[in-house]
Amino acid sequence: MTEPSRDTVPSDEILVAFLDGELDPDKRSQLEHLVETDEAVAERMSFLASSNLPFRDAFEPLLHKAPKAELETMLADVLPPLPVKEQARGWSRRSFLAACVGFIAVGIAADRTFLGVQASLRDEPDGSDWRSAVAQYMSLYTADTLGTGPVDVALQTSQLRTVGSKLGLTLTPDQVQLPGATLKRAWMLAYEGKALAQITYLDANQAPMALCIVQSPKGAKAPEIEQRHGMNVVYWSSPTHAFMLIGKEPLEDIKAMSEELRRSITV
Amino acid sequence: MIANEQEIRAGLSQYLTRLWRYAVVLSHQRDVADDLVQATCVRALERASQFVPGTRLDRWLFSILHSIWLNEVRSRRVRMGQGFVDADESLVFDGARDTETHIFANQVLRQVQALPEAQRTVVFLAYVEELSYREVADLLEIPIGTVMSRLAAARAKLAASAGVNALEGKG
Repeated sequence: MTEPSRDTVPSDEILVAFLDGELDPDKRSQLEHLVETDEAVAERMSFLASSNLPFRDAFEPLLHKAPKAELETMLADVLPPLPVKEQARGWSRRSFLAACVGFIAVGIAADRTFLGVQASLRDEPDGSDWRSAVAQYMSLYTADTLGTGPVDVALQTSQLRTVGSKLGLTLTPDQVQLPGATLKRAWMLAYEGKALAQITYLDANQAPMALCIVQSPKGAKAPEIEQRHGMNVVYWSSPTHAFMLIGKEPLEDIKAMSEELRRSITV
Repeated sequence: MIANEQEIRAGLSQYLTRLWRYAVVLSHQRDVADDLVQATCVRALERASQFVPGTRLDRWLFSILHSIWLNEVRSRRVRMGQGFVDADESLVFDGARDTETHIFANQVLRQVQALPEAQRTVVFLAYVEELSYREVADLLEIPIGTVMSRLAAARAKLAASAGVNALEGKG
């Protein structure tokens, strides 16, 4: 081999690949020879090698900072996907369902679905279509959906703070407790791109129930009742928000619970 | 299909903290990292049937997380004009354990986190997760030459600041 000149100083890419053990044996021995015979190459190699830092150790503590328990809970709460049925219509509702799993928290425009729910809804002019979507989604819930683990008040407090802040409300566990029901989780869903808070409970019979809230500037409205998907619904509005309480408990009980909520959540 | 979903779920549980760490490296932010991991779990379970048994599940999950970051979270933040935020300092400093080793480790962490995103991603994957060049290229869906040039640029930068630190140490 002839004495290498400046022109043959290998690129940083090649030198780094050498340091990383990514060169094949031929290139590797060529380069070893160069390092021994060419000072410029040796110098550059030594400079680049000073970036051989303890990367693994440096990033190890970050693993311990991960909110492991919360991530585990989150994973347990991700619903198993159902087979997806492609349909010509109903995409906005499917977006709603996909968004149910928390995309909204990061504001991802989720235009995909993982739940193949029949979207047979009509747009209803009186603003009731969000209740229809919620009821449809609720009809898929079981006690297992909401988890059977112990109640974690600190977690609930932080969840409620988060969902409240997205809607311009202050929410605490005390405010949303319902007689005879166990408060479970609060999370953000979306309906037609609008933030929708869902606060979930298990009723006395371990059936899922939920309080849902959206922002609605249409003005205050007194409570009304309706039935959807075999569940009782009480819905009302404040000047700034619309609420619905949905569950399988008898209508009188749901009404009584909704009265508690109307008293405790003032906006 | 069901068995596959269980497998993915078990894998997700095992790799949650590593996925979260990668999300922090990408986003620099704790809350975005939480959401990225959540979105990754949803997407992975949704696509469980696309996972090829016998291949590395952790790599597959990392690539899902990366594509969600790139195509949905990051691009959206840029579009919304929010740009990028400073690193969450609490993720770097760990005052309770200010031994010399930790100060040095923190310094390395900060230097890597200060690299441009494209460079710190390859540094993290190649040197922390210890992926081969080929694996990094596959995961990020970029040519291997791009991996090499990003690593070279990052190394040059890190080497330069290592030199400065050494001089300061002596002074």
